[in-house]
Amino acid sequence: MNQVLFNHVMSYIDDDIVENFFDNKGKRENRAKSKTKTRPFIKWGALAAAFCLVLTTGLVMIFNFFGNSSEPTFALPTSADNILWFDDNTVVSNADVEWNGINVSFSLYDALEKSASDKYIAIIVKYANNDRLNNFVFDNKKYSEHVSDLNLLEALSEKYGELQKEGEQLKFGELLYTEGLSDGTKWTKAYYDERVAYYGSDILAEFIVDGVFLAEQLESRIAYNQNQIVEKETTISNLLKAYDENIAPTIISAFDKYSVTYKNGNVYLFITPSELKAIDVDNITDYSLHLASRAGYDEPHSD
Amino acid sequence: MGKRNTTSQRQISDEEIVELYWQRNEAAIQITSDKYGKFLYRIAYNIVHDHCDCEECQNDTYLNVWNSIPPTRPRSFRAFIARIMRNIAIDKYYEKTNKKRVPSELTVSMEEIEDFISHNENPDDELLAEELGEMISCFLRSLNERERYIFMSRFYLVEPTWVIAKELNVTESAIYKKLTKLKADLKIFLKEKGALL
Repeated sequence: MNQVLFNHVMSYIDDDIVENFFDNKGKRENRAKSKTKTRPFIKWGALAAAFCLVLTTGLVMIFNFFGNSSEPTFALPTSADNILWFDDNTVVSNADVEWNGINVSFSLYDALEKSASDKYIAIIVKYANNDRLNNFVFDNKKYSEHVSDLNLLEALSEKYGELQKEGEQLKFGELLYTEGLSDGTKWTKAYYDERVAYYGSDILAEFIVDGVFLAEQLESRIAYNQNQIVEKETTISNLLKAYDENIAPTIISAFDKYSVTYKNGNVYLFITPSELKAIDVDNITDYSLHLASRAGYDEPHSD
Repeated sequence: MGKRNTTSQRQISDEEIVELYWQRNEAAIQITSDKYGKFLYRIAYNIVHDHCDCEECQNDTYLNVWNSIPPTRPRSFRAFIARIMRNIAIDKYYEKTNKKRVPSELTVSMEEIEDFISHNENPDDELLAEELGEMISCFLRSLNERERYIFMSRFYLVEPTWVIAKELNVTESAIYKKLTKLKADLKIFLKEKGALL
């Protein structure tokens, strides 16, 4: 396959893959998706994870003892049980759809439709509504405020990155569109105005002084901004862990008639399609169900 | 539902935009530009690396979309216009590279796959391109989400590796390593499918 053909062929990638890719890109840019994925107990270590597991198991036992006489008939999985997990054959999509009145991700929907009615499926249960999360306070700020901070930092980071590429041209100011540069570069006025507006006068004044582009200063600022992003991401990651721990007991109690457990930051439900179709949980539409991955269940991962 | 988004804004849907094209309402072009102008610019810029060329590619894309809808009714409008923009930008890139070397991420990303490409196919063979597109789609479906994201970022959107590294919060060398592995996997996959000698 030659280069021209390869480029041409890449334009024939299936629409759903392209669409999914752009969705992911957008989500990564506003950090929502990456934060939901990244919940390792790296810093808290195995001790904290074990503690949570013991605590949750205890809660489940208490709930079962006081609130529900029917024992789960399904033992929680060990290393190699024949349960359907998210795998390489799974249709990858986080789109939310409805399945028999239950909110499920499209990946789970596809699995439920294709599986035998008595096949156990590993499911992660979350709240469908974001309000609870958005208002969850950690480190003196709500989740939504932390995300907003992060978005601002990332927008700044993007501007700095663009300025690294365009600073050497922008330092020539209006010459860029009036006469053009000696290397033949010439912008339109509209584009020049757009870029100047994009960066804003503060950033341009800071890094372009008297016609000189201060590349080294910009590089230092990028490093500083990157550190702030990492710090904010860590805070949000810790917030999400705290949030998950906070909501887990309530979700577990709602699903306590079924095989449910809390592990590695998630509430896992093991249930067959036929059981799920007839599930008896109050306000089931409050929850959103997703196909779980074996790796996430077996061990904490770091994305 | 289930997503951790904090804001939502009513924006004209892609279906509504397509409907405007079908009604031959010229506002469709402006709306496309408002909604997807930056998105299209980004695709073009990674390929042609020239602001004037990007603008030209954008205008060509809008014209092409106007001429294509109707009769086409794309299932995914965003993927549809991305494909048109990509093809136009690539044509522009090759038009320029016939005259001189152009610094572009496309040049770099293609150098990364050069060790397994052969040179015996006709790039204008639409049928072949479609078949290979299906094979690569199949390969992409076999990857996990993160791998697919890296592959698409590099070879579809032609993003610089440092951008991908930043997005995924990893080092650039980690992205290079992953791309090397993906490249090797694709080579094996295409060989198994009989697409490579």
